[in-house]
Amino acid sequence: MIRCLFIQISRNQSGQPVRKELLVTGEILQIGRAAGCKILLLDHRVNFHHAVIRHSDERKLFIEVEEGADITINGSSGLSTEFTPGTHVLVGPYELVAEAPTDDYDLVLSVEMVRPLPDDHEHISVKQAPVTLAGAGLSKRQSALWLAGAIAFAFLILPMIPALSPMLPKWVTGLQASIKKSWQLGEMSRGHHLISAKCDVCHQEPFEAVPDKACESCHKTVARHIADKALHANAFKDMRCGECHHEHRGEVREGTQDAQCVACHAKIKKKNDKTKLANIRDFSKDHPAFSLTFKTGHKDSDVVRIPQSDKTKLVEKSGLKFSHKVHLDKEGVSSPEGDTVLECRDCHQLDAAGARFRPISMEKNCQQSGCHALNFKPPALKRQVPHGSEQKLMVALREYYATTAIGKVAAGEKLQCGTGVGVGKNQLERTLDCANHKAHVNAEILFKPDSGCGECHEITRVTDDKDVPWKVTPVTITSHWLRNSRFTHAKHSTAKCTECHDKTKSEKSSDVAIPVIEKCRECHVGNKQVKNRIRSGCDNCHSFHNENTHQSTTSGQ
Amino acid sequence: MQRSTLLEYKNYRYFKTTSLLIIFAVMAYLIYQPATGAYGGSWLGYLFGILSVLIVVVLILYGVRKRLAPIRTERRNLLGTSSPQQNVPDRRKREANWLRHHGATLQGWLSAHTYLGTALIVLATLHTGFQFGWNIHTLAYALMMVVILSGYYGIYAYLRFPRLMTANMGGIGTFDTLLLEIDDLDKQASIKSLQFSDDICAIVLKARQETRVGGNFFQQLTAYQRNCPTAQAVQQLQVLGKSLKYDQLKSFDDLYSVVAHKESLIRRARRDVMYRARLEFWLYLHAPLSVAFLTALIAHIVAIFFYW
Repeated sequence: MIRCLFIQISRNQSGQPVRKELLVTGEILQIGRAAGCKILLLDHRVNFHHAVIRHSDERKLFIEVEEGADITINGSSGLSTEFTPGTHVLVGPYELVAEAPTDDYDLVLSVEMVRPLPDDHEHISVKQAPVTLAGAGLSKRQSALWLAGAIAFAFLILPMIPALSPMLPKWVTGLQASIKKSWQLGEMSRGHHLISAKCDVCHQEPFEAVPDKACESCHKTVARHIADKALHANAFKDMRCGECHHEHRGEVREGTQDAQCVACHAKIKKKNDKTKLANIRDFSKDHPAFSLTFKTGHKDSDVVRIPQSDKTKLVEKSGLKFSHKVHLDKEGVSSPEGDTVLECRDCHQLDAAGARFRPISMEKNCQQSGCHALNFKPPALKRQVPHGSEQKLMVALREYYATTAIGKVAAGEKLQCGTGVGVGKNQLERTLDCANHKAHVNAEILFKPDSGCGECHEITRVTDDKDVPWKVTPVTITSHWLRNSRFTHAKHSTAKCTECHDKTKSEKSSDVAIPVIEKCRECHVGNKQVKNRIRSGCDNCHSFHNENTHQSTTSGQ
Repeated sequence: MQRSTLLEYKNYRYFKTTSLLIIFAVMAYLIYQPATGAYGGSWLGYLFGILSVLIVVVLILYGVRKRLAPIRTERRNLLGTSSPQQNVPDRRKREANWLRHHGATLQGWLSAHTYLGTALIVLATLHTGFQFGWNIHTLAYALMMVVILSGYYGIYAYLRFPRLMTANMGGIGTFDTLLLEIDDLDKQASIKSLQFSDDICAIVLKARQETRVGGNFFQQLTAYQRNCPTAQAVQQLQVLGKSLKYDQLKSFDDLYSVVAHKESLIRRARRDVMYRARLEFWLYLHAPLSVAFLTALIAHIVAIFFYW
């Protein structure tokens, strides 16, 4: 039988202990939540049967844990212990302390709830789990400061450093170069890729627009738009290169849109009342008829421009006689190899740029084929006279006949000269006269107005030179009819030559077969897209930086 | 009612103003095409840029005004009931009266803030000339768009969640009241569980000690606790209840109904936290990103004119 003084300790409002004593007896003392337990601990953290106090064989009191429960003995987990005074045993939230036994009791045991359940609602949340985003660690201010700081550092301060401190070490400026790209509006234009990291080449001063002198330090030979300096300055005033040339917009080609040209040219007569230029808005609407540039001499300035609308004046005075009709006869043209059908490209071959054609030469295009061999007359001699000046030809003839005559005299043959040639002169003089006579006779045949040289050239007889009394009109062939424009034949190779240049019926070289603007408009429209047509801005044909554009078309400027 | 006051403020005053602004801007953009294509550096591009900056200033002023409002109230309270405008010059009085009569209310500011933000999308987009790249300029634009889009979510949230929150709370006044009620149910369940086996006690105890409302960012937003002990308790009690003796069933039903009731309140509390989180979290994007945007905007402007 165990006699136990069971002391329940509770706390009053001021926290002072209140003791309530109870005598508990039994063979064993069960501790637990179950109704039959001698020591009843009503808390659901205590098992139904949590522990038991019993005598050992040596009549000592000890506490022993029940199956499935656990107790803490003097601060560490254990299964059983002897109840000596001062022993602390934790059963669930209760602390059992063995006090010194008295004579009346085998055991004095005090019990106190030491781990009460929290009495407030905050254990559900707030303390354990925040219920606001701020409580969960989010902070508007902190993230704002971090973000703003990072952006300001990376995209404001770093890119500015090299411009402000040119003395910085190279690796720093190198690092900045890549960061500076974050300031670039877009991809550099193709021509400026090499200097894309060297901002200061163009942007010479912070907060100042790129000056023209920065552009001109490399682009030294760019032509003005208008030849006349004063007029150019007046027309463009303070306009900078950069206003048209946007170098940070990838491959956007400046001037591909006509608006800038049209801004002036739509009312060019109002802007300059002396101009001969027409007001133009759009290629397909009000572009005037082309003006053809006729070459009148050998200098670049020896040209005259005639509008195609003035048809009676469209006559090329090249000094040549040439029938395209004969050469392009479908049946063929007679040649040493028989009748040969010629095509345009047999004579007209594109130049390296594919824009215009290589000059036609007598040697390559006419003599080479054997068609226009410049044979001596009579042709049986199988020698050709050189294609060149009249004097050169006469020298060649005289040399030939002198050599022949000397050869005959040396061989003892009799010279057959014309009647009265060399009469009364010695043999040497007679031989020379005979040779000159023969050369002259032959030249007379060659310089006939409609055969020999005269077959292609205009020949006139002159009186001031008795040795060479013929004059071949100098040849001036126009090779660039539309001087103020760009035209690339190679880009138009899908079309037949005769679609634009109908020369098949042309019998005279004076005929001009440059297509009129209407022909171009069959395919090309202006700056507004039209279905099945090619949109063509001003700069498709014209170049802004071309002083010639205005030079030959303006008066008094 | 909130819808009508925010978006329909003063008979759509700001809706009309910004609509006109947008229409004019789009028309100007369509009519005026610079020779070198639309871009921010044309005169119209600069105009769009300047207008956009002005709008940004007004939008930011809303943030300032909003933060000033409680300070003003506080100051007025400190000054007591006497008019704070005594002893101030007439001009100041007139200004104060003008403000009072011309509706410079926080709600008016918010209405203008909303519509001007929308106008900013159009103006800033036209300002870009639809040219974007990996640079500070597009970064500023992107940040601006995120800020505005998060603002749209904010409007949606303000129009939607307060009503859902009220409906969710039912008759319960505040979140704290709800927690108190849950705590009360916990205590009841603890007492009621004492007479049952250790298994049942442990379940009830775990439900009391480990159930959480709220938590980290995602838990708040989703109203979810993984393996919620209370939800588990309800399920497990259903199973354990089947093996009880007849005389225990009445008490067990009591316990079960308490735990089940607690679970429904827990769900409600979590939903309340969720609505509040959804009502607020966009601000954690909107406010910091608007500061970030402002910094990027300054960098954008400096970059443009530094390398003009």
